[in-house]
Amino acid sequence: MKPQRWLLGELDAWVAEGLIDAQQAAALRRRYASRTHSLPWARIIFSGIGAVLLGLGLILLFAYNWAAMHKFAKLAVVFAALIGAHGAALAVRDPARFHPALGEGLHLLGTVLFGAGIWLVAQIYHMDEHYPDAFLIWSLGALALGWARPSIAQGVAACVLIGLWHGSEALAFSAPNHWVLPLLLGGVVPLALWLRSPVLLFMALVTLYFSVGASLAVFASDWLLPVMLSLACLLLALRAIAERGVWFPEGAGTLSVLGYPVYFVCVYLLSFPEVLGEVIEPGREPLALLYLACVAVPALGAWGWLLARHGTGRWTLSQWLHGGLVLAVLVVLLLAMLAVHVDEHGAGFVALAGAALILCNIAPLIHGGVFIVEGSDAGRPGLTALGCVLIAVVVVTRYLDLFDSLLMRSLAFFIVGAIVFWAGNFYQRKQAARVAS
Amino acid sequence: MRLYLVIAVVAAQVLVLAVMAGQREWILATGETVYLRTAPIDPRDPFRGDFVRLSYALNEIDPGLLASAPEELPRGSVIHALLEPDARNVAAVRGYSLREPEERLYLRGRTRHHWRRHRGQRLWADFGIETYFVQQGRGLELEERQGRRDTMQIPLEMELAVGGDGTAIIRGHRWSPLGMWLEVSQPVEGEETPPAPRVTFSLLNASDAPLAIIDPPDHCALALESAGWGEQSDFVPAHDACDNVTIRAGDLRVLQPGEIHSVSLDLARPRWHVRTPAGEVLPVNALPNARLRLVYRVPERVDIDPENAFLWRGELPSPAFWAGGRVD
Repeated sequence: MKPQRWLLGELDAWVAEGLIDAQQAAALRRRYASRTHSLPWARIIFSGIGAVLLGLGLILLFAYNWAAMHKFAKLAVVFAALIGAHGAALAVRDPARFHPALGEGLHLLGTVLFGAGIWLVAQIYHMDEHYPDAFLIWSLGALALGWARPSIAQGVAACVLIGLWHGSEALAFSAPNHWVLPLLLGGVVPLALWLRSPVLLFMALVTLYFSVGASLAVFASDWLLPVMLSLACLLLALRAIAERGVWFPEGAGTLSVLGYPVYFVCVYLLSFPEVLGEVIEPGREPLALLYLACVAVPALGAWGWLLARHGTGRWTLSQWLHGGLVLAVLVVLLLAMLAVHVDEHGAGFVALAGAALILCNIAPLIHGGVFIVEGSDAGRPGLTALGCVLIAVVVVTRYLDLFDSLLMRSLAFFIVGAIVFWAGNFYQRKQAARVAS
Repeated sequence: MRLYLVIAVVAAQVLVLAVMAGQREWILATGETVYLRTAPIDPRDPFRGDFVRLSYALNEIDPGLLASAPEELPRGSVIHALLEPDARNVAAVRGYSLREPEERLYLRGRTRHHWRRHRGQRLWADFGIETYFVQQGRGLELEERQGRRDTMQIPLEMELAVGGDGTAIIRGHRWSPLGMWLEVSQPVEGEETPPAPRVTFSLLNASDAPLAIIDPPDHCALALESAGWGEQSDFVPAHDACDNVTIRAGDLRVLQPGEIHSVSLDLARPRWHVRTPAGEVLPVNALPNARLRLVYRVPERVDIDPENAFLWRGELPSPAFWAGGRVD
């Protein structure tokens, strides 16, 4: 249960017990009620799902391609349904008489029908053209409506359709399709920031990850890890900025949820010497270098801005450790990639490559330890468990890599077991201390 | 203000669909009508129901027919197929051009893959007419009537409306009045040089009225041609006695509806020998990796009109088969 909802549920009992008076209870209710009921998510989600299912039903109805129905009759049905859905949405736009979710659902139905119309026109005229273009046109229709209304649901629909467009270009046609990046960064992310919507930001960033990954997999797969790591570091820097309330504080959780997993996966993969060796000596691909620059430079800039603007004095130890490690991994990896072009066998390159390898092995251990302490302090068992998992994965992997002896390998499990045992005890002690205080 | 913005976006969505449909309607109303012969198969598109996947002879491009071809063509390059309709308005490809042709009738397409000349690759292109949407269940009916490689095949003739810029829209289809069946004897396993395959080539009157075909001496209406692909497929027919054959009244065969005319051919005979680029004349079994095709072709100089029957004119290629005996 969310804290606000729990608080509102307790108020009557507190008044009855005399802990607070009725006026104080009313003041608390006013203060927190708006936060708990700010968005009718249930209605929005069910309206959205209903609109999508209705639209899919219509698509399949059209797909039957009834031969007895004249093509102009089919076109009339499509145009009437499209105009009818959007027209009905406009007719119920008065919030005093109709719930806003109704209009949102009807507009979403209109967008689904717009896509159905594209496929139906293609069917009527036996068009056999480059089918990803249909997803692009469809997504642009949704995105334009997302800005015009403005609407989170249309933005989410645009993200799904952009993902389908890019996925079919990259996977079915092996086309890198670089235009997806300006479309997402210039069209969807600003909409999410304008609407201050973590949900839309989440969808936009998931689509961004997918798009960057799919493009690089097509034309420069050996650049995938450094670019994804840089992107994750950029999101974590933005998360640190958001957390300080400077910019879009509602998005901090989303940025964290999307930044850390990719960062940890990249760091884990880079902890293998052979993977790191391939990553710091990628093939010469100017466009991939541009991709890397487009995410690494803003990532370094964001971390630098954060340090300059807020100074180091206000950082807690855990913030120092998390931020410092993320920044250090990125900087050392980029320097190693740069050094290989200066002198492949020079002492500088060897030292940087070694430092990168050590950092990628140590970073998850330190992050894991900090998560255990943070989780125990804040009473968040999930965070403590995440810390244990991070440490366990690194320890077990390295032991299996380094030692063939079953005796030594068994030691790895003893060590991990001891760490988890200690973490559990530590969490319990902290929990008891919190209850006592 | 916001209301007007929403209305503008909705109007734009409607306009996109209207432009898509309007462009095609314009071509259907004003474009030139031509037929292209196809060989369909039957997949299904989850978004658009049943459709018949069509392939045409013009999809597979012999680089020799491509005027001023570069050494390399990136995927998606624009290519134009120059068409020449026959007496039944069924078009055959006369050549290909990368530039927009001055000819009246051509199709505009795009290459399906990256192509390099030095690899000896065949070039494949799509012309936007390879998908034919039909009511659910009808695709299978079309496929069954069209036949398979080991049965009688009746080709579809797709009716196209071709715009001035080479854009083609499928308007409908009709069945070819002439069906064809190629039976090839199976190769003998284990022999280093198997004997040339014996083939039986049959023609069926698939229409509702009497139909005339020709079968001059030495089966000169049939030609053995390279179907490309195979490493030994670079050859031309060595037998030239049919080049200037004169069709006489006795060469005509009138087939009643449903009647079949079959000829059995021994490809080991000198009539079917081929000439390699080195000038060698060889029997086809000396080139077991050659990909072949028999083509029934009515010469242009046929002055005899059969009485009470329609003389089928044009050319009808068989499925490709290998000189070793396997049918594609």
